[in-house]
Amino acid sequence: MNFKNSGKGDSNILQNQFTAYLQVALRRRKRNYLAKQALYLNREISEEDTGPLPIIAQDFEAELSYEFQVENDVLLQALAQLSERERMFLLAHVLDEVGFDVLAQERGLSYKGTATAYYRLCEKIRKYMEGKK
Amino acid sequence: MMNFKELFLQAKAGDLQAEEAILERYQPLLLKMALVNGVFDEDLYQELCITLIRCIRTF
Repeated sequence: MNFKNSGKGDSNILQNQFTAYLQVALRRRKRNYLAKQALYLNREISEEDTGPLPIIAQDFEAELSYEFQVENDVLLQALAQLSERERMFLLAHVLDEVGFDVLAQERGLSYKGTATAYYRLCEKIRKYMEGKK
Repeated sequence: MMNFKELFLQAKAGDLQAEEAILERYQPLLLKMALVNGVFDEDLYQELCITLIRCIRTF
């Protein structure tokens, strides 16, 4: 249905003013939305990007000392022993530097409980690695 | 048909039907704004609908 707005009268003036106000708000919202989308896209590692990664890893490993490689393998095995949830938790804290307070909030635990869980995990890995050496 | 001012004041007072009527009137604008490179973005459309409702409250 079409609405003819002559720009005369209270109602039409109000509509025009509101439309102008709305257009500015919508444009800003769209700009923010697109900026956020672009940010997410940059952070995401697309499937095409994962292609050359193993080659880089191989080059990197070749330069490492044998001792470090063995330790690294044991660490990987130790990490593989953990459950998916434990691994994500550990990696989030160690690699992504997510604080205990944030992790506690995500998991619905207390700060102390999260810290204890983290140190228990570290101990678990240490014991596994010592056993394998 | 109710004029825009009456409709707007009702929507501002929290009348859901009036809000819906305004949303319907502005739908062509929202749909146009929800196009990104000629493709309709459903999430963006939802965000714009929320923006419209907010604008009714804040205008």
